[in-house]
This record gives sequence, structure tokens and C-alpha cells, in this order.
Amino acid sequence: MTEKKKESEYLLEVKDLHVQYNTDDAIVYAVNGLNLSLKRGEKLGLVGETGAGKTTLALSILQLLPKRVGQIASGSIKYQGEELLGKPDSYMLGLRGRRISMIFQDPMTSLNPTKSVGDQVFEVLHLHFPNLSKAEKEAKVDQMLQMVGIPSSRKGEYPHQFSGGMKQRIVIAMALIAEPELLLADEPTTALDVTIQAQILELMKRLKDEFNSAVVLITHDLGVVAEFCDNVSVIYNGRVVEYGSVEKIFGSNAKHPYTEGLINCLPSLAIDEARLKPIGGHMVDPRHLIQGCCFADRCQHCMPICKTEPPVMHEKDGHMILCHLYDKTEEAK
Amino acid sequence: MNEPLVEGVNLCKYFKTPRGLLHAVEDVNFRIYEGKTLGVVGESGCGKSTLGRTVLRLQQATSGSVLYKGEDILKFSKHEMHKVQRNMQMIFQDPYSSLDPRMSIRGLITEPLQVIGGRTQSISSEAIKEKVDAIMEMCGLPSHYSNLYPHELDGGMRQRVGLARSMVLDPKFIVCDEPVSALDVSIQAQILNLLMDLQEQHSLSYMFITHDLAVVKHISDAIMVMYMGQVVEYAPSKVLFDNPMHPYTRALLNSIPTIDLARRNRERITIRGEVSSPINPAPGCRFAPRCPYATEACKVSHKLEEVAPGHLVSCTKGAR
Repeated sequence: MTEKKKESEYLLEVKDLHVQYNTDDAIVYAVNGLNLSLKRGEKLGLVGETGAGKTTLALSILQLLPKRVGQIASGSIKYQGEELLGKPDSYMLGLRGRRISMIFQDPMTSLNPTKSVGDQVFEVLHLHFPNLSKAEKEAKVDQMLQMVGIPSSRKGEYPHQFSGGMKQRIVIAMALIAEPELLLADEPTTALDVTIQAQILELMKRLKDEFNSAVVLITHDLGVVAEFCDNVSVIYNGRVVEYGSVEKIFGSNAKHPYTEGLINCLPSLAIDEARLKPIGGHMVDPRHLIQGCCFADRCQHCMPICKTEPPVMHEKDGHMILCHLYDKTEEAK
Repeated sequence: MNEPLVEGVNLCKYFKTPRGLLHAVEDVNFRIYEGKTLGVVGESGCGKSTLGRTVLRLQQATSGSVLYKGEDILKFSKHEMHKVQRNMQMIFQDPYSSLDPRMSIRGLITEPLQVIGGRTQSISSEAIKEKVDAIMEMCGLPSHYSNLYPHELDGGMRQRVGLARSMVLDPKFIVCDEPVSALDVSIQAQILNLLMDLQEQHSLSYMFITHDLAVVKHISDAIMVMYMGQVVEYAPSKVLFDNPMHPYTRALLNSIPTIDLARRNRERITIRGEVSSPINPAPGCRFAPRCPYATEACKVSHKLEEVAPGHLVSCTKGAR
């Protein structure tokens, strides 16, 4: 009884997910045992560097991995308590765009250049709500465009007639018109200027309040996460190395060495420092699986145990850290 | 008072388009001293890259002048230009497309020496090899990289190659056009450190073009904020961040997302609307259509005024 109740508490639950790309030369291990859970209306930030597996995770949830090459090796992805892996394509079609939407990084390439923007937003409604009358659909399109700040008088225009920020808002309108419960936003503001970025984040916040949609925000920008999200997952080498509320991650002293490194290499607006402190070394080669801790080679606090044994997740008040450093402190206590 | 190394005077660059004249850079003045960095910030399309290219004469300016050690290089003949060219170099934004994929790393770094160096003086091939080795080490490129090709390198290493290509000519002045925008934060920190080290060792001057305000604050001595081709504010780095006066600068600084939790609940200045078209723009302040303080007078004139020593601003309505 309690088991069931616990399950429905989460909108999305990813457990021990392993995803690999089978290329001609080698197997690339992109996601290695990733866990994630998301409540309704929650805003979760996924941060990490290029190649950490952030986008692969989003594509796995929607099962949009490249055919034949991308393969979910093991694990489970549950949406509202229902297992998505192994579901037929027809089921996923009903989910994509309707209940789970995705915003891709590049607004310049995610719109169809040969169709007017109004038609492109209309198409989404047409697919998911075929029973609405044409007038109703048109009215909804107008309303949605207005909401994202595009005058409906411009809906007959084509993507090239809009600026980057406006294109991104049109993509957001398409993603939200079916009022999805979950929005996967993959670097939605990376290609945009800061003042436009502020507008888009403000808009996404407002939409969240309106529809109570949950948002997974994928980004490498820690600042955006700190301002927009409730919770943060820091991803490295295809796994979550730290998870916690924004206050815990950016406010407390206990941190995964990788998170600490990421924060330290940002130039600060508040303090003048002479030199930045980059993280030494390179990202792990994803073609090999790591014996011990995946961050050991770059870590300043690396101990012998880190090279041989994988660390376990340590939890304290909902703040989770995957690091051997915290074994010791617990023993000491 | 020492002379500026590079100086821009009333620099304008217009482009002819089918729909009219596009005012990309409008009446820009700046001074860059030896060993110092001028940061140029602004949003995409504000003319900052065009400014950088015009300063190096990669594009011919419409009017105005660029003085290098007091001489107007825009009036130089081709031959005279070759002589100053080796002192004035550029690093490009995209390390993926600015390197010839069919040349080895050594070839790429040698090329500028052969092209520009060869025109002014002849160097023996041994001297070239020595020079390239020294530069590679200086830019943090291990020697076993010399026979690799650009596709075998990651973004940070490619940007180091781009930097080595300009450094090999021993320049005095480098225009850095968004050199770290395409890189991850940890790599970005490495490249910024390298740029600052090189500046210290060789007393280089930089014009550092970026849209990232935290980066520009870190690296610059003075900062110039541009909006649609016009300079709206120009001040020493610290002054600009402590006491921004132009409404646009204030909005820009306010929009930067930071990890500082204390700033999370700050009062937000969001500017509505989009950048309007720079083709045949109306006279006056170009920020006026988006500005919360705009009055009729703003649509008439736009002029930089010195409000404090070294602090120039075209409008003080944003000041507290």
C-alpha cells in the first residue's frame, strides 16, 4: 500500500539507467547508472560539461536516441509510475509533445523554414487534439503566441523573419501548447543574449505557475540553474555526482569536488581574483568504463580508495554526494 | 601621459543592403594602452565583431581612423600595412571553423610566419622550427601535438592553436573575438589564465570582445558597452560594475544569472522587446524604443558625455 503511494508521488523516476552508443570503432558509455526523480511542478537543473550525458538522458526519456546506434542497455524510466522502456512507438507518440515536451538547444534549426510559425504551432494542436474545431484551435494558437510575446498578427510569417529570441519563444509555444506535464529544456537559452535569456526564463517560470508543469532544465550555466531551479543534479561521466536543493548546492560547504571545481572556475562578479582556478586534467574517455570514482583523475582530494572502489551515495537532509571523502567524515562521527 | 597603442577615432562602418544602409558601427572612439585590455560588450548584432574587424582593417571602415602608435593605418598602402599587420593580430570565436582541417598543428602555426614574416624578412627554416616550438610551449601545446590535425583536438586545445597562430608573430595588440564563448567553464578558465599570463609576459594589449559580463570584468581594465553600433557607456572596469549609469548597462548587469544566492531575490530590471533594425536607424538614442526612461528628447540626439574622469556615458537616467 505504502509502496504504491510512494511511487505515484513522482512524475518521473529514472533508476540505474545505462545508455551506450555502439559506433563502428568502439562502444561509448554515455550514461552509467543514473538516478533521478522529479515531482509535479518541480524545476530540476541538470548541470555538467559537454559530454557528461545530459542530452542523452533527455533523449532516452523520450526514446529519441538515434536508431541502431543509441541503446538503452539497462535501467528503468518510469513516468507516473508506468515503465516507459519497452513501450511501443505508438505509445510514445501519444506521450511526446502531449505529456512530455522537449525544447532543443538551437532555435535556429528546430523550426521548419518552409512553414509559417502559426502553422507550426497549429500542427501540434492538430496532432494531439484532432477533435477541436478549427476556430478553437486558431484561438488557442493566438492565445499561446500572445503568452510568449509574439503578436498574433505575425503568425503568417516564416522563421527567418524572426530574431533568435523570438524563434526560441515560438519553439516554447510549440512545446507548451498541449499543456504537457513535463518539459525537457535542453540548453534553451545558451544561444541567446542575457537580456533575452532573462525574458525566456521569466516566461518559463510564469508558464510553470500557470500549468504546474515540471521542468528539467539542462544547462552548463550554473548561474541559470541557481536562479531558475528548485533542485540541482550535477552530472559527470553519465552519473549524478551530487544532488540537492539550490540552497544546499550553492549555499553549503559540503560539496562534491567536481561541483566545487565548477564553481571555482567561474569568474566572479563580486570578488576580484587575479587568476581563475580551472579543473585540471580532462574528461574521462567515455569509451572505457571506470573502476573506481569517475572523477578520481582530476580530483584534488583523490585517495587510494578512489582509484579502486566506486563511491557510494551519501545522503544528509536530502543532499546527496557521491564521493569517498564523505565515508571518512561519517566514520569519524 | 603615455600615448595609447591603438586608438579609434570617430570610427564608422556601414554596410549597403538592398533595404538601405546598415549602421553597424557608429562613431566609436576608444583608446587602448600598452599592456592593457579594453573589453567590448554588447548583445549579438550590436556591432562588436564588426568593430574588431574594422580595427584590424579586415574590413575597410566607412569613415574615421584607427591610429597605431599615432599613425593612421587606414591610410596605409598595402606594403606599409604588411609591416604593422604582424603587430596586430586576431583570435576568432569558433576554434572549430577558424583552423584549416587539412593542415597539421605545426603547419598551422608556421603559416603566419611564412606568409607575413616572409614578406618582411627572410627567416631560415631552422629558425622557424625553433620559433614554432617555443610558441607551442608558451601556449601550453605539448610537442607531440605538432603532427596532429585540428579534428583530433578538443575545443580548448584548438583555441590554444588559434592563439599560437597569432602569438608566433610577436604581436603587440590582439583582437580577441569571443575566444572563450564556445568552451566549457573549466576550459574557459584555462584559456583566460593563459591570455592573462601572456599579457603579463609580453605586455600585450587586447581588445576583448564578448557578451559574457563576468568574463569581461575579470580580464578588462576598461569596458565599452555597445548597443546597436553606438557606444552607450565607457568606463574603467571597476567603475562600470560599481556605478553603472546607462539604463541599458544597468539592465545588462542585472540580467546576469549568478550562483550568488543573495542575488536570487533581487529586484529585476527586465527590458522588454527586441533589438530593432539597424538599417536606416532613426536619429537619437537607439535604445530609446526599449528604454523605460525614454522621453521625446532621446529621439533627437545621442552623445557621450564625461561624467567622471574616464567614465563616459550617453545617458544618466539609469543612475541611482
